[in-house]
Amino acid sequence: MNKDLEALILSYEKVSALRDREAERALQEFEALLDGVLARVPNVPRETLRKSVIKAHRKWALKQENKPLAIPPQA
Amino acid sequence: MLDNCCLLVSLYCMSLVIVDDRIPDIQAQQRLMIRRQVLELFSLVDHLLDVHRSTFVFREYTPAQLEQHKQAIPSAIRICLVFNTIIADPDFDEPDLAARLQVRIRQLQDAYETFHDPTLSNEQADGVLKKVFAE
Repeated sequence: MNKDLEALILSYEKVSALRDREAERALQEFEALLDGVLARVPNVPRETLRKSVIKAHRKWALKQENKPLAIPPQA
Repeated sequence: MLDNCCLLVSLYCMSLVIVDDRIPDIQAQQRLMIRRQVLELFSLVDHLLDVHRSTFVFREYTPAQLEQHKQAIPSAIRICLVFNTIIADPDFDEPDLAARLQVRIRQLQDAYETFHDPTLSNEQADGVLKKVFAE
């Protein structure tokens, strides 16, 4: 996997895992990383790349052996 | 003696009248009430985000679960936006609480768009990533 894409996916993993103020900080880091990539590819719409990375994060998550505990939706 | 007693009673009544005449601080009470409700909403949203992560992001879901996801996330977003209009108002003056709500709204929007965004299919997303991160 491309190193920049991997860095974005791992950065978004923090956004996904953390809550509240920690999530806020993680989100700021992720958005900054995204801006860095976009500076090199100005023709790609920001939201499109953002959504694409989040979809890639989901693919990455499915492949992980260590998964968060399953929570029943009614819990 | 009796005169003194009457004076005391009179003063006591006056102070009661003064207390009763005070306007209740409705704004402070409203602020406390909204703050309590927002904190309760945070717990609800955080639980929903945990379910999204454990059931939908890290595992394969059933079509029935995906339908529940499609209903639950926008419903949570709507409630968050209602509270956001109140607490993001400069008069409410709780920027920290507003920021904590806004990060949850962003997380919920991401959760929704991961599975229900009609504007970007998985194939289109793969194409974008291939174009941007071509080695």
